[in-house]
Amino acid sequence: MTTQIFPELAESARPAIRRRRALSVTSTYPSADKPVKRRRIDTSNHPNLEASSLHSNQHPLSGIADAAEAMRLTQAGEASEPQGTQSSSSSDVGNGAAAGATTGTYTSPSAFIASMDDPLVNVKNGHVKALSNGSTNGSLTNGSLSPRIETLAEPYARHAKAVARVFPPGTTLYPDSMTDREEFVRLLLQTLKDVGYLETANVLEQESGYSYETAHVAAFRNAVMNGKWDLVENGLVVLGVRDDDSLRAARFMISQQKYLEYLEANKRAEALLTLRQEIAPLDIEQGRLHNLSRQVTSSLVLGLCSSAPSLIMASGPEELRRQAHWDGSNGSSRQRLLSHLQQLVPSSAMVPSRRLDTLLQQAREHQIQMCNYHIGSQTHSLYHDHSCSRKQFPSMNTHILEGHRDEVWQLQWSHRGDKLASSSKDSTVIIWKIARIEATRELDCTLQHVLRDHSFHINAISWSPDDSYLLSSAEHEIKLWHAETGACLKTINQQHSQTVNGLCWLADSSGFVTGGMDRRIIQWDIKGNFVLQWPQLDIRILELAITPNGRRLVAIGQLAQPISISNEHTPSAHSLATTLQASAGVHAPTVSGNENRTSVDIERRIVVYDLETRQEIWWQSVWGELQSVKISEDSRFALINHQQGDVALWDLVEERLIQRYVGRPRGMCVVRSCFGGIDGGLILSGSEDGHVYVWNRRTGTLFEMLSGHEPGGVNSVDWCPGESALFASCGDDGTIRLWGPEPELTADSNMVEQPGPIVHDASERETQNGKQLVGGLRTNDGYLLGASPSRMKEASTR
Amino acid sequence: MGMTHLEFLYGTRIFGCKTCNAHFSTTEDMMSRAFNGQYGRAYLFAKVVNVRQGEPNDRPMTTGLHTVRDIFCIKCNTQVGWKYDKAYDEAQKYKEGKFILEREMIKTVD
Repeated sequence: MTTQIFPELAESARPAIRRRRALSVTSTYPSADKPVKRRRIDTSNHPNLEASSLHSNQHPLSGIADAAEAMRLTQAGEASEPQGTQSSSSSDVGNGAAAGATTGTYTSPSAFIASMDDPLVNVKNGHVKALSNGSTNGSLTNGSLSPRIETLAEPYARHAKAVARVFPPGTTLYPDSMTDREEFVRLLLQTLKDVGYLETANVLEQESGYSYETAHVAAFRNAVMNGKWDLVENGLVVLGVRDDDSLRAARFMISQQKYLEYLEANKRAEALLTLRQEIAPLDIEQGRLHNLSRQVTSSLVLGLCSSAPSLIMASGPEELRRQAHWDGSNGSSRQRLLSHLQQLVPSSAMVPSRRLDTLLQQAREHQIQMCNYHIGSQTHSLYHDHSCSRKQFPSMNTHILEGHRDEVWQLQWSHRGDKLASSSKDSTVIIWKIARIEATRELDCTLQHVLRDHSFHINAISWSPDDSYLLSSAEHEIKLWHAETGACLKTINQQHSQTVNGLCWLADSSGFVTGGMDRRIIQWDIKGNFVLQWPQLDIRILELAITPNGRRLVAIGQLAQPISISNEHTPSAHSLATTLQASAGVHAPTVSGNENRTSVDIERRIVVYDLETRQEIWWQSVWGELQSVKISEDSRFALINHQQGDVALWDLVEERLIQRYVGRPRGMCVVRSCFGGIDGGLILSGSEDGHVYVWNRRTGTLFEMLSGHEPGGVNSVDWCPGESALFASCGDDGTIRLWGPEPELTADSNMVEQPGPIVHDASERETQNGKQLVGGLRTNDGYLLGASPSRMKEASTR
Repeated sequence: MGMTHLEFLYGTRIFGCKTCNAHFSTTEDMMSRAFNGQYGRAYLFAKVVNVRQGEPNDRPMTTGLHTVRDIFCIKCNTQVGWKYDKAYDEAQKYKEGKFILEREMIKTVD
């Protein structure tokens, strides 16, 4: 049957076999030139394909009801055994070369004949495995199969000594190990075969007594890869897929592939028959199908279900493949079918592809997550656990930017990381140009613009997504600035009646959103023209943030009027239950009219809105002042600073608290935090005690309290986008500080004992209002040893 | 010190700065409407927020000598009233620690 289906492939398959033999001198694969003696022995052992008393006696499945079908499968498995062993790497979806070789060798008549006198290693092992059910005690099974074991060693005798099986004690790798030896060896076998160490794998199979996979699996794999559809479903049953839903799903996927292949081969009558007799009777509706194939996650199935009948009208194979989003029987479609079907099979029977590598990758990822100082650029070795050195961590001040005349309250890097905006109590915003000099990797910092038109101290700043514009707010006044020229393009001071704390740009740069303590959220276009105002909110906005994907707006705010006050609420009540109770109005207001409440006991809320519909998606009541909100790059998490010291990470999708970062002292002022590190794996926050606190985002471990920005509090920190070791902090001392790794100490610099900051090249520049501003840049000499001092450049004036 | 948010109050009616809308006090904290200030009618409040207090000085008033401090809106710096530190007349002692807001300088705010 095999040779009838694809006779045209027989010739082309031969070279593949020869090549493999040439590569492996001591190949144990069957070949046409095997010793006559051995062939005689083996063929005498080989069952008659139609009725084999020997095999039906030995077959482990001979007792099950469907013994006849199991037999057919076994026969197919043995027939295809050489390929099953030789090309087990083809289990990898996407291993196109190996898959091609499989198809080729399988259909080769010589290979098929050769399979008759196959060294029955795998078949034997398959039987052993099935009989002993994974037990490492092979004595019983070996006993029952003893005649075969004699012949087993023979193919190897020509090239090498027969390998004796080793029986280590126990079932684990080491006495105190958790790793099951059989599982480990089978993963090793898979890997060895994947990379082509086939002989080693064979020796390992002998020595350990474990086989990578049973003959049934090989048979199943070959049945799929060679389009022997009538064997595939039985193969699944043999491999342990028993429940009706899985089998229905499998049947559907198989029939579908079959249908498409008939169409591709222009066998319309057969295709129609398949559609009528196999697919239609399954009576799978879309919804039902979805349910069936949920575990298979096959979008292919869903996509084809509706369009299957119309495909028969496709004019040619090309159009068919295009319409069905299917790449044909010679493409990867059989591999994909196999991987879908494999998900139904217990993983112990059919090991998921690249399993060992997957496990190692998981170990690597875990080590990276545990690595506090991870900067991402290191190569990973299996020989030792990954960890980055603190030396590369930005743990010390490298630059001090002076330009503000009062406390600096907030700073924000531009999205490209080449500019830094800082806002101050002195009612100005400064744009700094920060460039990395290619040759020396030193930072070049320049005061570019002082934006000084505001009449109050600055509450918030925000870069546009393309870094062309900067927004700033001072109390109820909002200004839109051109970042390059420093020109004020628009002043908005009518629409908000209270302080505007929330400034954020729409993700597409088409405009921005402002939110104020007046409970208003207003949308503006790119030129600062009013677009629309949201219905008045329950909360006074303390800060706003829009997710990078542009879908959601996260607001933190304080309730304008008591709605759900209850003494049962405690500051730590962050549970979902609290939300549900509160939103369901369980807690009636208990505040009497003449009780004067201060801000301390005013309820705060985190509210998530759908930006398009402006509807509230979710809210969470929180007690104690909220200070800042930042959204993670993937739009999923919100980082919120609480006045009592905690920084909290909320999952916006699952609507729950993920992690709390503790250790920062309680404060009175607004202190902002940020995500940091190369992949957002760090959490940084300023603090009123003058330290920068750094936590591992995943574990919540506080691993750095960086000092260097005293005296006074650190009000805001921001990690430079795209940099692995650069962030900025701003503080009550009126400075902005850039942080970088400690310098490599040279022999000379060892003599230097942490020199104090020295003012370099302070410069003055005329500002637009005619006032004088003293701008300067200090650097730590210690950092600059061996490098030219960073210096303040004369800013270009408009 | 760092940035602080203005304090916002709960109340059935909130009195705030006429110039900049900053919250000062609520009807729940109002003790008397029967006062006179620099610009006419003034109210006495038990508690006032968002104000900065000036230096104390003694002032002779219609009800006798008092030690008072002027109070200013912390946002816009407008003088909005005063605070009683000390009353020398026993009958006026109840004013100590209380605040006067001039009606002319305040309005109902949201």
